[in-house]
Amino acid sequence: MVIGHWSLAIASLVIPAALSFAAAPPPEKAAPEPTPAARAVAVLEARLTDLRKEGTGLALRERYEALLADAAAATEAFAADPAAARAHWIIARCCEALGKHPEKEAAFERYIDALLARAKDEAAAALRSEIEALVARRELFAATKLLRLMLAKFPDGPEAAWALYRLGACYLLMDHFGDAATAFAEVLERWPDSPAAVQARLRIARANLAQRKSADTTAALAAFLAQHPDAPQRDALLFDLAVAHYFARDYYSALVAFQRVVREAPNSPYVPIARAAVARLRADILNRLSASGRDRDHEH
Amino acid sequence: MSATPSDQWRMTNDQLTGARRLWPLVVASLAISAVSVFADATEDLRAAAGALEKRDLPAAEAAFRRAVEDAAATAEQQTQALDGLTATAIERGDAAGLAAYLEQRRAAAPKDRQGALLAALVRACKARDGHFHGILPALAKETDASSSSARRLLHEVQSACAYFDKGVKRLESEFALAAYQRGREAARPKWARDRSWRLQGAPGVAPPGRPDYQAQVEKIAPPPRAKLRTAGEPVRVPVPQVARIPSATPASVAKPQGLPRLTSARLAAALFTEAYQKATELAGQGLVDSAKAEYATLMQLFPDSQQAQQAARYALALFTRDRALAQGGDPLGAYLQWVRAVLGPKGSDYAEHIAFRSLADDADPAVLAREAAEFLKRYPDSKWAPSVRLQLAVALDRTGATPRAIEVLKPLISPLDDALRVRAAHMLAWLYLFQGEGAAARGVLDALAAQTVVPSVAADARRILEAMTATPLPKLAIAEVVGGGDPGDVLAGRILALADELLEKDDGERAMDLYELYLRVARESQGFYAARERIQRIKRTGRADEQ
Repeated sequence: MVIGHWSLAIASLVIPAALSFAAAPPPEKAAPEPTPAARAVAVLEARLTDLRKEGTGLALRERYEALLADAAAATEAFAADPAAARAHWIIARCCEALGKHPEKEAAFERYIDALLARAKDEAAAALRSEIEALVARRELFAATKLLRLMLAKFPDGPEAAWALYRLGACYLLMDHFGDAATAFAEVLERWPDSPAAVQARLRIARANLAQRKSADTTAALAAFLAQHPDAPQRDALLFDLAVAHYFARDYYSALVAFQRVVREAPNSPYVPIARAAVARLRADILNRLSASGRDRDHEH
Repeated sequence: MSATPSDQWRMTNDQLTGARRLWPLVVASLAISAVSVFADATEDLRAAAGALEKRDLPAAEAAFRRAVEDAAATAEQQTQALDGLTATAIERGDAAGLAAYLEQRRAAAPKDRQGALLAALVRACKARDGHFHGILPALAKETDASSSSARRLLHEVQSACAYFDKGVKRLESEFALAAYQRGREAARPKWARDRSWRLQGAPGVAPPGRPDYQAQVEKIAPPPRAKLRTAGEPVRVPVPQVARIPSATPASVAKPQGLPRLTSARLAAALFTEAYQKATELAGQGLVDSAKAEYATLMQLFPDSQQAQQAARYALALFTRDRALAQGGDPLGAYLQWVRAVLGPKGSDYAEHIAFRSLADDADPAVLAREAAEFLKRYPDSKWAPSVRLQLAVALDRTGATPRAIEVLKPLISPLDDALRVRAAHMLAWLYLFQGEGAAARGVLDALAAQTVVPSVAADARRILEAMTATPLPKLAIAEVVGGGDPGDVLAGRILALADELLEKDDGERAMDLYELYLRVARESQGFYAARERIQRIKRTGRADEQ
């Protein structure tokens, strides 16, 4: 009995102490000392930031050239250090400012290779960021080259789906509708459930419309909508289906599809357009029937 | 010796320009007629002469009328009386009354008096209307009745029309020349215009002429040769004329062609050419209403001729031009109102139906429905009534009265034995589809698929029936009717608005989808060009603003 009391007393003393020890913050670890490569790259990056603030004028050309030389020296000096990857990026930026585009592309590829050696996600994020910047500036040819590089580095997975969709979108902006449709079709075939596929389905309608191949769109969209009643952006897909029917001159199916937009997605922003489209369809058909008779009268 | 009616007409026609010039002639002729042996007419003419000298016009007119109505008066006295009557009526400003009186007299007069009365009537109508168009139908009618005097008169009237036109043109050119010369004179410097600075010659002394240094050659005529006959010259003997042997086939003698017979159709054609030229000139000068009046005259004179139909078409073109200049308006209503006023209660279904054919597309649906219903009321048996009925259905549908449009079409669709009925049935089927009435639409489509009059429509009906089987028509009618505006413009506007909204929400890709769609459905207009430029900028730069 006494032993039992002792054990309870010890437990009541030891457990709170143990809990308090566990809840206490761990002792602070000192940040690792940056490597010489990281320090050198940080200095180079600071110089690049200052230079870019000043612009890219001719007067700055010598300073960019100097920075380019220093960055190249750093990559050679710290070739084995992963922190030196950023130096390739600095070289790419300097080449860009100096108008040396082939050199820039080569430097950027070395940068991506260095990142891939370190972490795939970082490489993918860097590629995405660079591609979006190029598309925003409408440097579409350079963007397509980089997208093809991305597809080569990431042949499968979500990164590939995104890259292929983006490649198709670039082709659309370049009015290469056939290439765009091919790219979107590949996205839909290889990654049908990816977020890129949702967008690709909408864009392929545009590419087909531009190529006057609306019948291709109607078949694909009708089948997809029948199989996926809860598909994301269903109202937009229904609207595109109706438009494709209209341009394929299948007016009955167009009427039914526009009515489906109104009935199935009453709060969609496409409803007012669908209503106006039905009015237009109605006017077109009735005027055509009325006008053909007038022409015949005129011939008489 | 009495003058022919046409001679009389020609003689007095020039005098119509000023009735006062006619007085001496009338008085003189009356004095001559006073010695006539026919006492009654002579007395009347004498009394008329006395009244004219006293400027008692009503008395003179009464006396002339008595002379005209005198059955025993000679042709010459009749002619003089008619001249006097015309002059008096013109002086009194009562040409319309004279025309009515002469019409009345013509109805009662014997055949040998008709020529003179017709000539007087032509003059009276000219004095009343200022032109000859009013008398042309009567003359054409007389020409058809093989009246030689009427034919001559008609010829004269046509010549006069051309003569007046030429005269007007000559006067116009003279005025233009005078104005040009005045302008040139005014443009010259004053010192060149004013000749007073020149030295005046001394009184009685002519200004020195230009010296003439040209050598004057004196011509010396040679003396006339004496006609001498030499001894060796043989005496000329006339060759005897030998009678020609007639050939086996007698030479065909071309009969001189007479003047073409003046028919109503020829007259209408001649008048149309003239009206067209005048109307073109007037329209070119901006006098569109006057140009329309030219065509209206023709349509009134020869309402059933082909030229009237042509005139109606040209007048319609003027209305269409008016619309283009006025940027809108209601040309359909305006034209129909005009043509109904011109042609009166009888009207012309052709002249009205061409307006529906040409102007229906841009007409306000309410106006179109009203006018089409009026047309069907006025001409229920017209051959154009079915096509106007179709347009009425379209207009009713656009005003939101689709059930009425369906009722308008229903009588046309059975049996489906011609193209127009097939078209009506096609339209009816679509109206049922837009109303969400699948069963009724299927009934009409079955009938269309079975007909063989228009195979393309049958094929279309079969396609729709197949599609209906695959995807039944939902019982939903989208009851939004855009109204008077163009539904295409409304659609384009809504697409553009949503695209802009998506662009603001940073969904640039979907915005570009809708922009591309907008470029496909929008009609070319000023707004369209601006939007297209903006869309191209977004596509090129990724930004909507110009910076």
